[in-house]
Amino acid sequence: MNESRIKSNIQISENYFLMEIESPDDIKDIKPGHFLNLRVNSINSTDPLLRRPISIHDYNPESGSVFLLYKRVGRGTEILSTYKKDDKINFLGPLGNGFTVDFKKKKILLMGGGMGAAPLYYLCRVLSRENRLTVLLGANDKDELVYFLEIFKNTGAEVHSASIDGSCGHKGNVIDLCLMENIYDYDYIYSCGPVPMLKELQKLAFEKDLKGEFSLEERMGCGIGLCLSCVCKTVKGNQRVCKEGPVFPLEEVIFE
Amino acid sequence: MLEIDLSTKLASLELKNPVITASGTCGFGEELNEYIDIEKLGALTVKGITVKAWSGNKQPRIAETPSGILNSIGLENPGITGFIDEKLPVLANYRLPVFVNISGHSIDDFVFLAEKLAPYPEISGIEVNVSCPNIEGGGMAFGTDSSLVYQVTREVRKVYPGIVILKLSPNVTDIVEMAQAAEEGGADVISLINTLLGMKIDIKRRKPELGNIFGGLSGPAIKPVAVRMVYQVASKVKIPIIGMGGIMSGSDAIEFLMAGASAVAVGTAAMVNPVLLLKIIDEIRDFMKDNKITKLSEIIGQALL
Repeated sequence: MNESRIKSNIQISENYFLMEIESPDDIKDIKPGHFLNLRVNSINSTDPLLRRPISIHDYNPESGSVFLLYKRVGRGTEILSTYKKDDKINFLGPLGNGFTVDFKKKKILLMGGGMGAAPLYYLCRVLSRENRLTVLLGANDKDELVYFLEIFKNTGAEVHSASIDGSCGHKGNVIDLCLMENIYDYDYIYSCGPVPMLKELQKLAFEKDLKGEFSLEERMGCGIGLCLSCVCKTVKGNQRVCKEGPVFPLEEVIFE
Repeated sequence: MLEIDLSTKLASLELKNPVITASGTCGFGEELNEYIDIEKLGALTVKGITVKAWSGNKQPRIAETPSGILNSIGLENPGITGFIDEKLPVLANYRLPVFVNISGHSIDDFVFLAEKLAPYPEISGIEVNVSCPNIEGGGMAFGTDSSLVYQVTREVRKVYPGIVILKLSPNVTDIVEMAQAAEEGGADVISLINTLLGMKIDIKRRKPELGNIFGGLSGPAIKPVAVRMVYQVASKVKIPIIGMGGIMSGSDAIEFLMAGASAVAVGTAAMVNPVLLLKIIDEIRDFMKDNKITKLSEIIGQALL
Protein backbone atom coordinates (compact mmCIF):
# COMPACT_ATOMS: atom_id res chain seq x y z
CA MET A 1 0.00 0.00 0.00
CA ASN A 2 1.24 3.42 -0.90
CA GLU A 3 0.48 7.03 -0.32
CA SER A 4 1.54 9.63 -2.85
CA ARG A 5 1.39 13.35 -3.24
CA ILE A 6 -0.81 14.68 -6.00
CA LYS A 7 1.15 16.99 -8.29
CA SER A 8 -1.90 18.13 -10.23
CA ASN A 9 -5.49 17.10 -10.94
CA ILE A 10 -6.87 18.99 -13.90
CA GLN A 11 -10.12 18.89 -15.82
CA ILE A 12 -9.35 18.39 -19.50
CA SER A 13 -12.90 18.21 -20.84
CA GLU A 14 -16.42 18.15 -19.46
CA ASN A 15 -15.96 14.88 -17.60
CA TYR A 16 -12.33 13.89 -18.17
CA PHE A 17 -9.68 14.55 -15.54
CA LEU A 18 -5.93 14.05 -15.59
CA MET A 19 -4.20 13.38 -12.29
CA GLU A 20 -0.44 13.43 -11.91
CA ILE A 21 0.91 11.78 -8.79
CA GLU A 22 4.39 11.35 -7.41
CA SER A 23 5.68 7.90 -8.17
CA PRO A 24 6.74 6.23 -4.90
CA ASP A 25 10.51 5.66 -4.68
CA ASP A 26 10.16 1.93 -4.11
CA ILE A 27 8.16 1.41 -7.29
CA LYS A 28 10.33 1.23 -10.38
CA ASP A 29 8.56 -1.24 -12.59
CA ILE A 30 5.39 0.32 -13.91
CA LYS A 31 4.33 -1.33 -17.15
CA PRO A 32 1.77 -0.26 -19.71
CA GLY A 33 -1.49 -1.98 -18.78
CA HIS A 34 -0.96 -1.82 -15.03
CA PHE A 35 -3.53 -0.12 -12.82
CA LEU A 36 -3.73 1.47 -9.38
CA ASN A 37 -6.52 0.80 -6.92
CA LEU A 38 -7.26 4.16 -5.35
CA ARG A 39 -8.89 4.91 -2.06
CA VAL A 40 -11.31 7.76 -2.61
CA ASN A 41 -12.60 8.42 0.91
CA SER A 42 -10.93 9.99 3.91
CA ILE A 43 -8.96 7.62 6.06
CA ASN A 44 -11.57 6.70 8.68
CA SER A 45 -14.59 6.89 6.44
CA THR A 46 -16.30 3.73 5.23
CA ASP A 47 -18.24 5.38 2.46
CA PRO A 48 -17.65 4.88 -0.40
CA LEU A 49 -16.16 1.62 0.79
CA LEU A 50 -14.41 0.13 -2.21
CA ARG A 51 -11.29 1.37 -3.94
CA ARG A 52 -11.46 2.57 -7.54
CA PRO A 53 -9.27 0.84 -10.11
CA ILE A 54 -7.76 3.35 -12.55
CA SER A 55 -5.37 2.37 -15.34
CA ILE A 56 -1.93 3.91 -15.72
CA HIS A 57 -2.27 6.49 -18.48
CA ASP A 58 1.40 7.39 -18.54
CA TYR A 59 4.53 6.99 -16.50
CA ASN A 60 7.58 9.18 -16.55
CA PRO A 61 10.43 7.73 -14.47
CA GLU A 62 12.62 10.82 -15.00
CA SER A 63 10.16 13.23 -13.41
CA GLY A 64 8.87 10.52 -11.09
CA SER A 65 5.29 10.96 -12.21
CA VAL A 66 2.42 8.58 -12.73
CA PHE A 67 -0.51 9.90 -14.77
CA LEU A 68 -4.06 8.72 -14.32
CA LEU A 69 -6.81 9.71 -16.71
CA TYR A 70 -10.35 9.17 -15.49
CA LYS A 71 -13.88 9.97 -16.42
CA ARG A 72 -16.23 11.41 -13.82
CA VAL A 73 -19.05 8.88 -13.92
CA GLY A 74 -20.14 8.17 -10.35
CA ARG A 75 -19.53 8.91 -6.72
CA GLY A 76 -15.97 7.61 -6.58
CA THR A 77 -14.67 9.53 -9.56
CA GLU A 78 -16.68 12.58 -8.46
CA ILE A 79 -14.74 12.56 -5.17
CA LEU A 80 -11.49 11.90 -7.02
CA SER A 81 -12.12 15.00 -9.15
CA THR A 82 -12.15 17.17 -6.00
CA TYR A 83 -8.61 16.23 -4.97
CA LYS A 84 -6.19 19.15 -5.09
CA LYS A 85 -2.48 19.61 -5.65
CA ASP A 86 -0.47 18.41 -2.63
CA ASP A 87 -3.33 16.24 -1.31
CA LYS A 88 -2.27 12.70 -0.52
CA ILE A 89 -3.77 9.75 -2.31
CA ASN A 90 -3.70 6.21 -0.95
CA PHE A 91 -3.47 3.30 -3.40
CA LEU A 92 -2.59 -0.32 -3.93
CA GLY A 93 -0.43 -1.05 -6.93
CA PRO A 94 0.75 -1.09 -9.57
CA LEU A 95 -1.54 -4.08 -10.07
CA GLY A 96 -2.27 -6.47 -12.91
CA ASN A 97 -0.12 -8.11 -15.57
CA GLY A 98 0.39 -5.40 -18.19
CA PHE A 99 0.74 -5.51 -21.98
CA THR A 100 3.46 -7.34 -23.89
CA VAL A 101 5.94 -4.65 -24.93
CA ASP A 102 8.97 -6.47 -26.34
CA PHE A 103 8.31 -5.92 -30.04
CA LYS A 104 10.70 -4.45 -32.58
CA LYS A 105 10.15 -3.34 -36.18
CA LYS A 106 6.54 -4.47 -36.20
CA LYS A 107 3.42 -2.91 -37.63
CA ILE A 108 1.08 -2.48 -34.72
CA LEU A 109 -2.55 -1.38 -34.42
CA LEU A 110 -3.93 0.22 -31.27
CA MET A 111 -7.68 0.62 -30.94
CA GLY A 112 -9.28 2.56 -28.13
CA GLY A 113 -12.99 3.03 -27.49
CA GLY A 114 -13.93 5.90 -25.15
CA MET A 115 -11.86 5.86 -21.97
CA GLY A 116 -10.32 2.62 -23.24
CA ALA A 117 -7.77 4.83 -24.99
CA ALA A 118 -6.34 5.90 -21.61
CA PRO A 119 -4.09 2.85 -20.90
CA LEU A 120 -3.09 2.64 -24.58
CA TYR A 121 -1.20 5.93 -24.42
CA TYR A 122 1.66 4.72 -22.23
CA LEU A 123 1.76 1.57 -24.36
CA CYS A 124 1.90 3.69 -27.50
CA ARG A 125 4.80 5.73 -26.16
CA VAL A 126 6.77 2.63 -25.26
CA LEU A 127 6.08 0.76 -28.51
CA SER A 128 6.50 3.73 -30.84
CA ARG A 129 10.25 3.86 -30.16
CA GLU A 130 10.93 0.80 -32.29
CA ASN A 131 7.71 -0.01 -34.14
CA ARG A 132 5.30 1.49 -36.67
CA LEU A 133 2.01 2.30 -34.99
CA THR A 134 -1.48 3.13 -36.15
CA VAL A 135 -3.96 4.33 -33.56
CA LEU A 136 -7.74 4.18 -34.07
CA LEU A 137 -9.81 6.14 -31.59
CA GLY A 138 -13.56 6.03 -31.18
CA ALA A 139 -15.85 8.00 -28.89
CA ASN A 140 -19.29 9.57 -28.69
CA ASP A 141 -18.24 13.06 -29.70
CA LYS A 142 -15.42 15.54 -30.26
CA ASP A 143 -15.23 16.48 -26.59
CA GLU A 144 -14.13 12.95 -25.75
CA LEU A 145 -11.58 12.81 -28.57
CA VAL A 146 -9.66 16.10 -28.69
CA TYR A 147 -7.24 15.31 -25.89
CA PHE A 148 -6.49 11.80 -27.13
CA LEU A 149 -5.98 12.92 -30.74
CA GLU A 150 -3.38 15.44 -29.68
CA ILE A 151 -1.35 13.21 -27.37
CA PHE A 152 -1.34 10.17 -29.64
CA LYS A 153 -0.29 12.30 -32.64
CA ASN A 154 2.67 13.55 -30.60
CA THR A 155 4.04 10.02 -30.35
CA GLY A 156 4.53 9.97 -34.13
CA ALA A 157 1.84 7.35 -34.63
CA GLU A 158 -0.67 7.55 -37.47
CA VAL A 159 -3.96 8.47 -35.79
CA HIS A 160 -7.56 8.18 -37.05
CA SER A 161 -10.73 8.92 -35.18
CA ALA A 162 -14.42 8.18 -35.33
CA SER A 163 -17.26 9.77 -33.41
CA ILE A 164 -20.83 8.58 -33.16
CA ASP A 165 -22.22 12.08 -33.71
CA GLY A 166 -19.78 12.83 -36.51
CA SER A 167 -18.28 15.87 -34.74
CA CYS A 168 -14.75 14.53 -35.04
CA GLY A 169 -13.30 12.33 -37.77
CA HIS A 170 -15.36 9.58 -39.35
CA LYS A 171 -19.05 9.51 -38.43
CA GLY A 172 -19.64 6.11 -36.97
CA ASN A 173 -17.82 3.74 -34.69
CA VAL A 174 -14.21 2.74 -34.49
CA ILE A 175 -14.90 -0.67 -36.03
CA ASP A 176 -15.82 1.14 -39.28
CA LEU A 177 -12.33 2.66 -39.22
CA CYS A 178 -10.86 -0.75 -38.68
CA LEU A 179 -12.69 -2.05 -41.75
CA MET A 180 -11.26 0.84 -43.80
CA GLU A 181 -7.73 -0.05 -42.73
CA ASN A 182 -6.01 -2.95 -44.39
CA ILE A 183 -6.07 -5.01 -41.23
CA TYR A 184 -4.04 -7.86 -42.82
CA ASP A 185 -1.07 -5.59 -42.65
CA TYR A 186 -0.71 -5.61 -38.91
CA ASP A 187 1.55 -7.89 -36.93
CA TYR A 188 -0.19 -7.28 -33.63
CA ILE A 189 -3.31 -5.54 -32.27
CA TYR A 190 -3.97 -3.99 -28.86
CA SER A 191 -7.35 -2.80 -27.77
CA CYS A 192 -9.26 -1.52 -24.79
CA GLY A 193 -12.83 -0.27 -24.67
CA PRO A 194 -16.47 -1.35 -24.53
CA VAL A 195 -17.25 -5.05 -24.86
CA PRO A 196 -19.31 -4.74 -28.10
CA MET A 197 -16.28 -3.13 -29.76
CA LEU A 198 -13.87 -5.78 -28.50
CA LYS A 199 -16.26 -8.50 -29.61
CA GLU A 200 -16.39 -7.11 -33.17
CA LEU A 201 -12.64 -6.68 -33.25
CA GLN A 202 -12.14 -10.25 -32.06
CA LYS A 203 -14.37 -11.46 -34.90
CA LEU A 204 -12.26 -9.56 -37.43
CA ALA A 205 -9.06 -10.82 -35.86
CA PHE A 206 -10.27 -14.42 -36.07
CA GLU A 207 -11.21 -13.99 -39.74
CA LYS A 208 -7.77 -12.64 -40.58
CA ASP A 209 -5.89 -14.80 -38.07
CA LEU A 210 -4.42 -11.81 -36.28
CA LYS A 211 -2.85 -11.90 -32.86
CA GLY A 212 -3.11 -9.29 -30.16
CA GLU A 213 -4.18 -8.35 -26.68
CA PHE A 214 -7.26 -6.90 -25.01
CA SER A 215 -7.26 -5.00 -21.75
CA LEU A 216 -10.57 -5.79 -20.06
CA GLU A 217 -12.66 -3.85 -17.60
CA GLU A 218 -14.86 -5.46 -14.99
CA ARG A 219 -16.30 -4.32 -11.70
CA MET A 220 -13.73 -5.06 -9.05
CA GLY A 221 -13.98 -5.78 -5.36
CA CYS A 222 -10.50 -6.06 -3.90
CA GLY A 223 -8.34 -5.63 -7.03
CA ILE A 224 -5.76 -8.08 -5.67
CA GLY A 225 -7.21 -11.49 -6.45
CA LEU A 226 -9.01 -12.26 -3.21
CA CYS A 227 -12.72 -11.99 -3.93
CA LEU A 228 -13.41 -13.28 -7.49
CA SER A 229 -15.74 -10.37 -8.27
CA CYS A 230 -14.06 -9.40 -11.52
CA VAL A 231 -13.62 -12.73 -13.29
CA CYS A 232 -14.05 -13.02 -17.05
CA LYS A 233 -14.58 -16.09 -19.20
CA THR A 234 -11.59 -17.32 -21.20
CA VAL A 235 -10.58 -20.50 -23.00
CA LYS A 236 -8.59 -21.34 -19.84
CA GLY A 237 -11.70 -21.01 -17.68
CA ASN A 238 -12.55 -18.09 -15.44
CA GLN A 239 -9.69 -15.65 -14.96
CA ARG A 240 -9.45 -12.74 -12.56
CA VAL A 241 -9.28 -9.45 -14.46
CA CYS A 242 -7.37 -7.89 -11.54
CA LYS A 243 -4.81 -10.65 -11.16
CA GLU A 244 -4.33 -12.75 -14.33
CA GLY A 245 -5.42 -9.67 -16.33
CA PRO A 246 -6.44 -7.05 -17.09
CA VAL A 247 -4.58 -7.87 -20.30
CA PHE A 248 -5.45 -11.14 -22.08
CA PRO A 249 -4.48 -12.56 -25.48
CA LEU A 250 -7.39 -11.55 -27.70
CA GLU A 251 -8.00 -15.11 -28.85
CA GLU A 252 -8.47 -16.35 -25.29
CA VAL A 253 -11.32 -14.09 -24.21
CA ILE A 254 -14.83 -15.51 -24.46
CA PHE A 255 -17.53 -12.84 -24.83
CA GLU A 256 -21.07 -13.81 -23.97
CA MET B 1 5.55 -3.50 30.98
CA LEU B 2 2.11 -5.05 30.81
CA GLU B 3 2.07 -8.55 29.32
CA ILE B 4 -0.92 -8.76 26.96
CA ASP B 5 -2.38 -12.20 26.23
CA LEU B 6 -4.42 -12.10 23.02
CA SER B 7 -4.94 -15.85 22.81
CA THR B 8 -8.41 -17.32 22.68
CA LYS B 9 -9.96 -20.75 22.52
CA LEU B 10 -12.32 -22.24 19.98
CA ALA B 11 -13.26 -25.57 21.55
CA SER B 12 -10.01 -27.57 21.72
CA LEU B 13 -8.12 -25.17 19.47
CA GLU B 14 -6.11 -22.29 20.84
CA LEU B 15 -5.59 -19.26 18.58
CA LYS B 16 -2.74 -16.85 19.31
CA ASN B 17 -5.11 -13.96 18.64
CA PRO B 18 -8.81 -13.69 17.83
CA VAL B 19 -8.61 -12.36 14.26
CA ILE B 20 -9.57 -14.77 11.48
CA THR B 21 -10.18 -14.13 7.79
CA ALA B 22 -13.79 -14.49 6.66
CA SER B 23 -14.38 -17.07 3.97
CA GLY B 24 -14.36 -15.78 0.41
CA THR B 25 -12.32 -12.68 1.11
CA CYS B 26 -8.81 -14.08 1.42
CA GLY B 27 -8.69 -16.43 -1.56
CA PHE B 28 -6.66 -19.46 -0.52
CA GLY B 29 -4.11 -17.53 1.51
CA GLU B 30 -1.33 -17.01 -1.01
CA GLU B 31 -2.87 -13.90 -2.61
CA LEU B 32 -3.24 -12.31 0.82
CA ASN B 33 0.27 -13.34 1.83
CA GLU B 34 1.64 -11.00 -0.86
CA TYR B 35 0.38 -8.10 1.27
CA ILE B 36 0.62 -9.27 4.87
CA ASP B 37 2.33 -12.04 6.78
CA ILE B 38 -0.72 -14.25 7.16
CA GLU B 39 0.97 -16.30 9.90
CA LYS B 40 0.35 -13.34 12.19
CA LEU B 41 -3.39 -13.98 12.00
CA GLY B 42 -5.29 -16.09 14.51
CA ALA B 43 -6.52 -18.39 11.74
CA LEU B 44 -7.41 -18.46 8.08
CA THR B 45 -10.81 -19.46 6.69
CA VAL B 46 -10.54 -20.17 3.00
CA LYS B 47 -13.02 -19.81 0.16
CA GLY B 48 -16.12 -22.03 0.16
CA ILE B 49 -15.58 -25.42 -1.44
CA THR B 50 -18.23 -27.52 -3.15
CA VAL B 51 -18.36 -31.12 -4.36
CA LYS B 52 -17.75 -30.15 -7.99
CA ALA B 53 -15.88 -27.14 -9.34
CA TRP B 54 -18.22 -24.18 -9.83
CA SER B 55 -17.75 -21.23 -12.16
CA GLY B 56 -19.95 -18.90 -10.11
CA ASN B 57 -22.60 -16.38 -11.08
CA LYS B 58 -22.74 -14.07 -14.07
CA GLN B 59 -21.49 -10.50 -14.04
CA PRO B 60 -21.83 -8.04 -12.45
CA ARG B 61 -21.03 -9.83 -9.22
CA ILE B 62 -20.47 -6.84 -6.99
CA ALA B 63 -22.21 -3.55 -6.25
CA GLU B 64 -21.35 -0.88 -3.77
CA THR B 65 -23.97 0.36 -1.28
CA PRO B 66 -23.70 2.89 1.57
CA SER B 67 -20.80 1.61 3.73
CA GLY B 68 -21.40 -1.82 2.28
CA ILE B 69 -20.97 -4.23 -0.59
CA LEU B 70 -23.49 -6.50 -2.25
CA ASN B 71 -21.87 -9.57 -3.75
CA SER B 72 -23.14 -12.48 -5.75
CA ILE B 73 -19.92 -14.33 -6.55
CA GLY B 74 -21.79 -17.61 -6.41
CA LEU B 75 -19.17 -19.76 -4.71
CA GLU B 76 -16.80 -20.01 -7.64
CA ASN B 77 -14.26 -22.61 -6.52
CA PRO B 78 -12.11 -25.46 -7.85
CA GLY B 79 -14.21 -28.21 -6.22
CA ILE B 80 -13.05 -30.52 -3.45
CA THR B 81 -10.61 -32.45 -5.65
CA GLY B 82 -9.12 -29.27 -7.10
CA PHE B 83 -8.81 -27.86 -3.60
CA ILE B 84 -7.07 -30.91 -2.16
CA ASP B 85 -4.72 -31.33 -5.13
CA GLU B 86 -3.83 -27.70 -5.86
CA LYS B 87 -4.64 -25.43 -2.92
CA LEU B 88 -4.11 -27.55 0.17
CA PRO B 89 -0.38 -28.26 -0.45
CA VAL B 90 0.24 -24.49 -0.58
CA LEU B 91 -1.88 -23.84 2.50
CA ALA B 92 -0.02 -26.54 4.41
CA ASN B 93 3.17 -24.44 4.20
CA TYR B 94 1.73 -21.75 6.44
CA ARG B 95 2.02 -22.11 10.18
CA LEU B 96 -1.45 -21.12 11.28
CA PRO B 97 -4.76 -22.89 11.82
CA VAL B 98 -6.79 -23.25 8.64
CA PHE B 99 -10.55 -23.65 8.42
CA VAL B 100 -12.12 -24.84 5.20
CA ASN B 101 -15.56 -23.51 4.38
CA ILE B 102 -17.81 -26.11 2.72
CA SER B 103 -21.08 -25.64 0.83
CA GLY B 104 -23.59 -28.10 -0.54
CA HIS B 105 -27.02 -28.63 -2.03
CA SER B 106 -27.88 -31.58 0.20
CA ILE B 107 -26.91 -33.24 3.45
CA ASP B 108 -25.09 -35.86 1.38
CA ASP B 109 -22.97 -33.10 -0.20
CA PHE B 110 -21.93 -31.77 3.21
CA VAL B 111 -21.13 -35.25 4.51
CA PHE B 112 -19.13 -36.07 1.37
CA LEU B 113 -17.07 -32.88 1.73
CA ALA B 114 -16.46 -33.45 5.45
CA GLU B 115 -15.32 -37.02 4.78
CA LYS B 116 -12.95 -35.85 2.06
CA LEU B 117 -11.36 -33.29 4.38
CA ALA B 118 -11.24 -35.55 7.43
CA PRO B 119 -7.85 -37.18 6.66
CA TYR B 120 -5.92 -33.88 6.56
CA PRO B 121 -4.46 -32.83 9.90
CA GLU B 122 -3.16 -29.60 8.33
CA ILE B 123 -6.79 -28.46 8.37
CA SER B 124 -7.92 -27.48 11.87
CA GLY B 125 -11.59 -27.44 11.13
CA ILE B 126 -14.41 -27.08 8.68
CA GLU B 127 -16.88 -24.25 8.51
CA VAL B 128 -20.20 -25.66 7.36
CA ASN B 129 -21.80 -22.97 5.26
CA VAL B 130 -25.54 -23.33 5.67
CA SER B 131 -26.01 -19.71 4.82
CA CYS B 132 -24.76 -18.74 1.38
CA PRO B 133 -27.40 -16.53 -0.23
CA ASN B 134 -25.86 -16.93 -3.66
CA ILE B 135 -26.55 -20.51 -4.63
CA GLU B 136 -29.76 -21.94 -5.87
CA GLY B 137 -31.60 -24.83 -4.28
CA GLY B 138 -29.42 -25.04 -1.22
CA GLY B 139 -27.06 -22.88 0.72
CA MET B 140 -29.18 -20.50 2.69
CA ALA B 141 -32.19 -22.83 2.61
CA PHE B 142 -30.38 -25.10 5.07
CA GLY B 143 -29.64 -22.27 7.44
CA THR B 144 -33.23 -21.07 7.63
CA ASP B 145 -34.71 -24.36 8.85
CA SER B 146 -33.58 -25.38 12.32
CA SER B 147 -34.31 -29.07 11.82
CA LEU B 148 -32.06 -29.06 8.73
CA VAL B 149 -29.34 -27.19 10.65
CA TYR B 150 -29.55 -29.89 13.32
CA GLN B 151 -29.42 -32.73 10.80
CA VAL B 152 -26.54 -31.31 8.78
CA THR B 153 -24.54 -30.67 11.94
CA ARG B 154 -25.20 -34.14 13.33
CA GLU B 155 -24.27 -35.95 10.10
CA VAL B 156 -21.12 -33.89 9.52
CA ARG B 157 -20.12 -34.35 13.18
CA LYS B 158 -20.22 -38.13 12.73
CA VAL B 159 -17.65 -38.15 9.95
CA TYR B 160 -15.38 -35.21 10.80
CA PRO B 161 -12.91 -35.50 13.69
CA GLY B 162 -11.67 -31.87 13.77
CA ILE B 163 -13.48 -28.72 14.73
CA VAL B 164 -16.94 -28.33 13.22
CA ILE B 165 -18.04 -24.72 12.82
CA LEU B 166 -21.58 -23.93 11.71
CA LYS B 167 -21.85 -20.67 9.78
CA LEU B 168 -25.32 -19.27 10.28
CA SER B 169 -27.47 -17.08 8.09
CA PRO B 170 -28.86 -13.81 9.42
CA ASN B 171 -31.80 -14.15 7.02
CA VAL B 172 -33.97 -15.83 9.64
CA THR B 173 -36.67 -14.82 12.11
CA ASP B 174 -34.94 -16.34 15.12
CA ILE B 175 -31.15 -16.72 15.01
CA VAL B 176 -31.10 -18.30 18.48
CA GLU B 177 -33.21 -21.22 17.29
CA MET B 178 -30.66 -21.93 14.53
CA ALA B 179 -27.72 -21.63 16.91
CA GLN B 180 -29.34 -23.98 19.42
CA ALA B 181 -30.00 -26.50 16.64
CA ALA B 182 -26.31 -26.38 15.70
CA GLU B 183 -25.27 -26.81 19.34
CA GLU B 184 -27.62 -29.77 19.81
CA GLY B 185 -26.34 -31.33 16.59
CA GLY B 186 -22.83 -31.33 18.03
CA ALA B 187 -21.16 -28.25 16.53
CA ASP B 188 -17.98 -27.13 18.29
CA VAL B 189 -18.25 -23.50 17.21
CA ILE B 190 -20.83 -21.19 15.63
CA SER B 191 -19.85 -18.44 13.23
CA LEU B 192 -22.18 -15.60 12.41
CA ILE B 193 -23.27 -13.69 10.52
CA ASN B 194 -23.10 -14.51 6.84
CA THR B 195 -24.27 -11.76 4.49
CA LEU B 196 -27.76 -10.28 4.55
CA LEU B 197 -29.77 -10.82 1.39
CA GLY B 198 -30.09 -7.53 -0.45
CA MET B 199 -30.60 -5.85 -3.79
CA LYS B 200 -29.65 -2.71 -5.70
CA ILE B 201 -31.32 -1.33 -8.78
CA ASP B 202 -29.60 0.62 -11.55
CA ILE B 203 -32.19 3.34 -12.14
CA LYS B 204 -30.70 4.38 -15.49
CA ARG B 205 -31.00 0.88 -16.92
CA ARG B 206 -34.11 0.15 -14.81
CA LYS B 207 -32.61 -3.22 -13.99
CA PRO B 208 -31.06 -4.98 -11.00
CA GLU B 209 -27.36 -4.10 -10.70
CA LEU B 210 -26.24 -7.65 -9.98
CA GLY B 211 -26.32 -10.32 -12.66
CA ASN B 212 -27.81 -12.66 -10.08
CA ILE B 213 -30.45 -10.02 -9.07
CA PHE B 214 -29.95 -10.52 -5.33
CA GLY B 215 -26.69 -10.54 -3.42
CA GLY B 216 -25.26 -10.72 0.05
CA LEU B 217 -24.72 -7.46 1.91
CA SER B 218 -21.52 -7.11 3.92
CA GLY B 219 -19.44 -4.30 5.37
CA PRO B 220 -19.91 -1.72 8.13
CA ALA B 221 -23.58 -1.26 7.14
CA ILE B 222 -24.46 -4.64 8.68
CA LYS B 223 -22.39 -4.43 11.86
CA PRO B 224 -25.20 -3.47 14.26
CA VAL B 225 -27.30 -6.41 13.04
CA ALA B 226 -24.34 -8.76 13.46
CA VAL B 227 -23.48 -7.53 16.96
CA ARG B 228 -27.11 -7.95 17.99
CA MET B 229 -27.21 -11.53 16.69
CA VAL B 230 -23.94 -12.49 18.35
CA TYR B 231 -25.24 -11.04 21.60
CA GLN B 232 -28.54 -12.97 21.35
CA VAL B 233 -26.79 -16.24 20.52
CA ALA B 234 -24.12 -15.82 23.18
CA SER B 235 -26.85 -15.37 25.78
CA LYS B 236 -28.36 -18.74 24.89
CA VAL B 237 -25.65 -21.16 23.76
CA LYS B 238 -22.51 -22.44 25.50
CA ILE B 239 -20.27 -23.20 22.50
CA PRO B 240 -17.86 -20.50 21.32
CA ILE B 241 -18.81 -17.98 18.65
CA ILE B 242 -16.82 -16.45 15.82
CA GLY B 243 -18.43 -13.04 15.33
CA MET B 244 -18.34 -11.21 12.02
CA GLY B 245 -20.09 -8.53 10.02
CA GLY B 246 -18.52 -5.24 9.00
CA ILE B 247 -15.48 -5.25 11.27
CA MET B 248 -13.09 -2.53 10.08
CA SER B 249 -11.20 -1.67 13.27
CA GLY B 250 -10.06 -2.94 16.63
CA SER B 251 -12.96 -1.22 18.35
CA ASP B 252 -15.42 -2.94 16.00
CA ALA B 253 -13.81 -6.28 16.90
CA ILE B 254 -14.02 -5.50 20.61
CA GLU B 255 -17.76 -4.86 20.28
CA PHE B 256 -18.16 -8.41 18.97
CA LEU B 257 -15.96 -9.84 21.72
CA MET B 258 -17.93 -7.98 24.38
CA ALA B 259 -21.16 -9.25 22.79
CA GLY B 260 -19.88 -12.76 23.49
CA ALA B 261 -17.75 -13.80 20.51
CA SER B 262 -14.55 -15.69 21.35
CA ALA B 263 -13.00 -14.72 18.03
CA VAL B 264 -13.83 -12.47 15.11
CA ALA B 265 -13.67 -12.82 11.34
CA VAL B 266 -12.80 -9.98 9.01
CA GLY B 267 -13.87 -10.04 5.37
CA THR B 268 -14.89 -6.87 3.59
CA ALA B 269 -12.18 -4.84 5.35
CA ALA B 270 -9.51 -7.13 3.88
CA MET B 271 -10.86 -6.43 0.41
CA VAL B 272 -10.57 -2.70 0.96
CA ASN B 273 -7.18 -2.88 2.63
CA PRO B 274 -5.53 -6.21 3.52
CA VAL B 275 -3.28 -4.51 6.05
CA LEU B 276 -6.35 -3.82 8.20
CA LEU B 277 -6.34 -7.49 9.26
CA LEU B 278 -3.12 -6.97 11.21
CA LYS B 279 -4.02 -3.44 12.27
CA ILE B 280 -7.14 -4.80 13.95
CA ILE B 281 -4.96 -7.15 16.04
CA ASP B 282 -2.73 -4.21 17.05
CA GLU B 283 -5.73 -2.08 17.93
CA ILE B 284 -7.22 -4.80 20.15
CA ARG B 285 -3.85 -5.02 21.93
CA ASP B 286 -3.72 -1.22 22.32
CA PHE B 287 -7.22 -1.14 23.76
CA MET B 288 -6.27 -3.79 26.30
CA LYS B 289 -3.08 -1.94 27.20
CA ASP B 290 -4.93 1.35 27.65
CA ASN B 291 -7.52 -0.32 29.82
CA LYS B 292 -5.05 -2.46 31.76
CA ILE B 293 -6.59 -5.70 30.57
CA THR B 294 -4.07 -8.52 30.38
CA LYS B 295 -6.17 -11.38 29.06
CA LEU B 296 -8.54 -11.34 26.09
CA SER B 297 -10.89 -13.59 28.04
CA GLU B 298 -11.56 -10.65 30.36
CA ILE B 299 -13.29 -8.88 27.45
CA ILE B 300 -15.30 -11.75 26.01
CA GLY B 301 -18.99 -11.47 26.86
CA GLN B 302 -18.50 -8.41 29.07
CA ALA B 303 -21.52 -6.64 27.61
CA LEU B 304 -23.85 -9.58 28.28
CA LEU B 305 -26.40 -8.76 30.93
